[in-house]
Amino acid sequence: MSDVIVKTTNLTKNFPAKKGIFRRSNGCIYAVHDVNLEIPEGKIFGLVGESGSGKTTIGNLLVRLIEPTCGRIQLNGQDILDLKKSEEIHFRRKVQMIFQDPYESLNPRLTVYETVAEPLIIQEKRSMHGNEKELLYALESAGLTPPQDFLYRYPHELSGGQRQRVAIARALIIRPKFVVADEPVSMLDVSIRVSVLNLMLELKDNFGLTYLFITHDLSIARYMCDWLIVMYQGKIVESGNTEEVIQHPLHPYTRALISAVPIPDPMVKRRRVELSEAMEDTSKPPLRCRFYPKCETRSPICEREYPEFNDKGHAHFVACHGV
Amino acid sequence: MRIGTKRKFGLAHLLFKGISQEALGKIGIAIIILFGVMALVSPFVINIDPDVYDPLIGVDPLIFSSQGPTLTHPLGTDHLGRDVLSQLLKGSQIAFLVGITVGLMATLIGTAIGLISGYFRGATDSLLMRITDIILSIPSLPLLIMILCVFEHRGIWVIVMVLGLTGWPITARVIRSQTLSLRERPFVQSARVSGASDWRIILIHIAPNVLPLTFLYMTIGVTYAILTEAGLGFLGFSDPTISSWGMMLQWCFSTGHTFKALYWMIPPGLSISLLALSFYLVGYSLEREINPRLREP
Repeated sequence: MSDVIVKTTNLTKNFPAKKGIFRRSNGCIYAVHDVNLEIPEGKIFGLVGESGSGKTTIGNLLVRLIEPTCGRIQLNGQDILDLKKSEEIHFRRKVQMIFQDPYESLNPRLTVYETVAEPLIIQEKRSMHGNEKELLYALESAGLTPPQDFLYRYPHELSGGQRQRVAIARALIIRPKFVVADEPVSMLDVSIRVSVLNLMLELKDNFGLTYLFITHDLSIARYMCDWLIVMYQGKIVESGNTEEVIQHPLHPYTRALISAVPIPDPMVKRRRVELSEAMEDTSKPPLRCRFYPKCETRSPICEREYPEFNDKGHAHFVACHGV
Repeated sequence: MRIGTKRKFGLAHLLFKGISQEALGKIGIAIIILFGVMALVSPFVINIDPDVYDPLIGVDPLIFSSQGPTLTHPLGTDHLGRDVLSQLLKGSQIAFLVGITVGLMATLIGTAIGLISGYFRGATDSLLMRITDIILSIPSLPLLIMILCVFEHRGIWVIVMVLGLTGWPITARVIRSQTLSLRERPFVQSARVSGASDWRIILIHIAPNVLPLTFLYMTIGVTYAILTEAGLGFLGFSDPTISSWGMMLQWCFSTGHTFKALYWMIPPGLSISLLALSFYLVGYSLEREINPRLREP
């Protein structure tokens, strides 16, 4: 296996829950609990799960938009949580993020030029002018042709797909090593999704990128990712090679997720795994299996202790007592 | 060399669109222009004969009590024989001076405090907002009178400073709430991921997005300043060496001419109301363009 670019150790994030008119602290939400990731360089690492499973929180933690409650994050073996101010700017250079909603992730009052040039201006202390060469290259790489037509446009003059390409150009202009893509195509029309996904695959090879690809859509994850991690309520429940996880899902939650993906053939019938409405309370620490209330195959031990994360062969890990 | 086309999506365009779309906005602009012309004309009227037409020391030697309109004094004279029209025109200058300066000062302070408070949150926010609450919760006119009483000589600049330094709390509150929402928007996070400093985020990403709102509150600030200065003048707390509209009403009232000399009382009263109204109308018509909730779907 290739080198590990990002490594997390016991990464945990609790959001304080404040209630009442005096905003008294009242426990907390365990958004991400005890997550260990090893993201290999040059691969696309998929993070799937339902809303509220902590996917985006992990993405935000890795780019340091939020600080973890405890745990460590390493980038190329260097701990990124206790960087000095002067070192932080180098870290910002290596790690970039592509956001979900291209209608929100571009400042409506800045032109494409100003938006895409901003990382260069910050990182290389450049002036606003004279960056055309890099900009045209970045825009062209992001599939905006002819690039000079886009430089002085405002976001409201662009389509959703074009906006996302501008966001991609902005992320890539300082040649990052690691890119967190938080549901990059979920807000786009289905018709342009594939072209943006293909662009991301192409850029990965051209720029030597590693992606953390966050999505709730298993078919997109299968199309894009080399490795897949399935999350449920802040815990990793299953991880492994994408094909392996999708062909042979082991965790009951993964099985339910895969059975929910529609098959584009009306003649094929697949048994849907129906889950109960019951939900574990995420304001309690995970002492028992998070999936316990919904699980079809639960046994008494599931209520007593949280399952270990076990290797089931072929680097396929799962956290379930029943497997 | 400029590549491609640069199109306008600026503040000026937005303001122009907002004002020109509403009939009320046009009326407001028309009134402002009218008073603007009056302010500009004022020195020419005085220069006809400063001994007669100076708003404070020019006295018509033939007149010893307040007189109604005549050819030489189109709006009549006050009890000393001073020309009312000349005072009114000078008052127009003062109203613009006070209104625009206080409006600018109050919105600048309010916007800065709102941005800092909303962006940094935490202790900074608590401190600044409690100061805001204190100023907001004390009735403004008594507060102003108390502050003004501290000054031995109450020149017009003292009044402008006091109004400007106490007129910002509402702007600060509104800008703060807007900042609180903007700072969580993905484009701000995107800037943070690129390594942008706090001040860069505030100045380049948040401030331009609250600017239209700032402008809206400035029109309201101008209205507030004009009305408050007139109120202080009428109560006798404004600069007695300047014929502001409030002072004119005060002279009219204190010499017992209130309803006996309508030619003296109505012009300043009407001017105060109209100029305050006109800035209010401009703000009103801007709001449709600026406040997304009022925009038609």
